[in-house]
Amino acid sequence: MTEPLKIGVSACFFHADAARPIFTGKTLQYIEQSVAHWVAASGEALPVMVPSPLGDTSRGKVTLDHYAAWLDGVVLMGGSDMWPGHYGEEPLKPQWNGDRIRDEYETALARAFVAQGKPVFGVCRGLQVLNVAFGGSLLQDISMLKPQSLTHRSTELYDQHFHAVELVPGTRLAQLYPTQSRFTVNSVHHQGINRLAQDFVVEAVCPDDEVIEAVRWRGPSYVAAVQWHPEFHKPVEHGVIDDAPILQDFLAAAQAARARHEQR
Amino acid sequence: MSNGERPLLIGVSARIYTPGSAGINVSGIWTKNLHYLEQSMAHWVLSGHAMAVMIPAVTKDSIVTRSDLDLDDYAHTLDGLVLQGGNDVAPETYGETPLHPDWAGDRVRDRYEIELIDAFVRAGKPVFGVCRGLQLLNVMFGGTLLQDIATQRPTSRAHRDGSTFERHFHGIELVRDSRLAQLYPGVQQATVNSIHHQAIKDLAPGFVVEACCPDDGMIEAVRRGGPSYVAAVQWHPEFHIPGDPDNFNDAPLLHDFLKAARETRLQHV
Repeated sequence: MTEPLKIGVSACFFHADAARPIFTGKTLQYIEQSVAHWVAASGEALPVMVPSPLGDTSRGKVTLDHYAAWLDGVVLMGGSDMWPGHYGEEPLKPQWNGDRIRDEYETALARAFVAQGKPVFGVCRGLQVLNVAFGGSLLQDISMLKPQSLTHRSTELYDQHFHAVELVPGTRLAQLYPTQSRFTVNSVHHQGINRLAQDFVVEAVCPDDEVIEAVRWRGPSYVAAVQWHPEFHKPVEHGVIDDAPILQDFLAAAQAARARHEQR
Repeated sequence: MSNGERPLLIGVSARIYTPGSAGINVSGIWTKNLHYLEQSMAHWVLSGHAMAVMIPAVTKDSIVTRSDLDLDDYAHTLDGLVLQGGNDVAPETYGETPLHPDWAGDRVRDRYEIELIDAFVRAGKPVFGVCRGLQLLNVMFGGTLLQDIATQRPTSRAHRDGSTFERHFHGIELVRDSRLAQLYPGVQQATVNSIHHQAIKDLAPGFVVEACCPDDGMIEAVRRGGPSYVAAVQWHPEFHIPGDPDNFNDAPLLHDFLKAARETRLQHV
């Protein structure tokens, strides 16, 4: 039996909050079960959450480089906004301050994997983090800054809100879906890519407003991301895209990275 | 970095949030199942130069399963397991019914962690339990719990104080000649934090007591006899402040666990 691939999942934070009635003053790190199950659904991968080694209780000398050396790939999860300072802007509203600590943790995590030639896949916020980490910028709020855009987040419908995406012909993503170029995806984000990172290619857009829905790095290792949440729906549910080819492609890259490292 | 040099890999069991468990209508992220840990627990493991990773929760009979996730694979891949503190063990898990609705416990997490412990023990990998982890290990190996210390042992001292949380302390006495006592030569008594309202009632067969509270005899640390390393403490090592002379120094305990993990790794190489 071949060893399963070991795939890290980045942590989300509930930061220490003196006003919270439970876990008062404690920082919690979490993942959504659905992300772990999505990765594991392949039958080829063991997902684990990679805790941030930093913070007020930090101890010891283990770094994210150690995790990147051991794991075969990493998935950056969805979640809070990025701090606009990370792409050189001031928050336009206080509620868009984002999560600066998580930005720094996930950027370091992505860099550690890229440095070792191991694949990184971003979901929703993960796409945004990767775009900023590679030099791009974000729209702090799509509906304010691009008012003609489609609704990309519905508080009421949450993960039951959908729209179309069009895959860009000739891209690796389009090659994964050889018979179809238009799909339905869920949409649970109010931020999006503004300036695309220099070495990124767009692999899918929303046909109604050209909001970028999938990207990939041109560099030597696998860095790709989607703006939707592949983990939220079973394929065929709500007619959404079957994300299995995307996961398989990422895991194939992880497999290749592992084979390269074992040869050394 | 060759494989032999990598830090040890320690799995940490997940705390589980299930929507609706708070009894209120929720939206957004709160409609999702979340798996989480307290950051300080990961950092405590990291302090021993081991990589902590959280193992996502799934059970064989889980209705949410859409995967081939196999906890045996985690036991095979990782070098040891730490059980986090958290919710009560469901009384049904040790053949009782809840004496109060508040003490119904967390059946889902019980099942997931029992499968996880079973997988690690079968793989010969060490398991260390914290607080609820001690309680669950005791139950899994045939012991029972007090559902509520204050109700069932009213003459006991307080083992939890809602206002001071992890700053609530009491004394413990290490049991002479136990492995725990051997880790602390010359130390018979110590002070630990105390944040639990349940405790061991009947000790699991094959377990030995390694520390107890001198005020009321409450069991504070246990170890399973036999070849595999299964040990647990009722306090929270991750909340003790390193270097604070008033706090128990848990480093020898962690290093002993990690030493067992290193030995099993060498056997598996």
